[in-house]
Amino acid sequence: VDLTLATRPEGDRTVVEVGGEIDVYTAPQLRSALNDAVADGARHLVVDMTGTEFLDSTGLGVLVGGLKRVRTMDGDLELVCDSEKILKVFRITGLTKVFTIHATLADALGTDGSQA
Amino acid sequence: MSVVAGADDVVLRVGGSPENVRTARLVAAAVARREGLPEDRVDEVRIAVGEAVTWAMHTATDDVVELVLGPGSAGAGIFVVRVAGGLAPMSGAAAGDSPYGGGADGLALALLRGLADDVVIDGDTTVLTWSDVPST
Repeated sequence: VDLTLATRPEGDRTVVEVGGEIDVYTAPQLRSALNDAVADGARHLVVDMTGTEFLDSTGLGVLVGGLKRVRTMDGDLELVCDSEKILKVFRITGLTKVFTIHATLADALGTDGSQA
Repeated sequence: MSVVAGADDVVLRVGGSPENVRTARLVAAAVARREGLPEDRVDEVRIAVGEAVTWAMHTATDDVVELVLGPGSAGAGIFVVRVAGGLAPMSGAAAGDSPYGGGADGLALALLRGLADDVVIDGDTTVLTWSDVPST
């Protein structure tokens, strides 16, 4: 399996767990998962990339698209990532300024000071 | 398209299915490792080659993307990846018409430039270079 996805509610957040490799081949599945979550009413998304091993620009594009979408609904999309390899991709593209990135899921869920 | 490859180079041709991008990444990482690049640089090669192949696939007219990986004619201490599609790289209006266009286009370029030591886009060919490769 190249990509695994699991969506679950956590309080007022919706956690989307992404495992494996996000690239041009698998990114459409991630886009669908985010779209489905929003269609189900989720507005505060946490994309947990703890199990993500690879991320390319197509995947970044999907995450940015998801963020833009929930922001138009007064929502937000935050990330959980502690892999230096993956964080480097966010840094090079300047997206560390766009996304709130937490080191742990607990940190992401405990940060209630945002628009939540 | 004509291939110019040295004895130590690896030539790979993949069809235009996005599934093949991962295969190209795996081969690129394997060759980079064989050539003695340290693991953090192997990761750079893996990501950059994926971007270049994805890009070539979205601009290719003949459904085949060709890669030449290795020291090439550059000599010791250099790792070069040449990725050729079938059309000039997209830009401007053309990028907007592509599923890979818009924002992702800029992200891909930013990654190429941030990961490889040198990036040259020459017609339908993207040349990525990593220098200071330790000798094996």
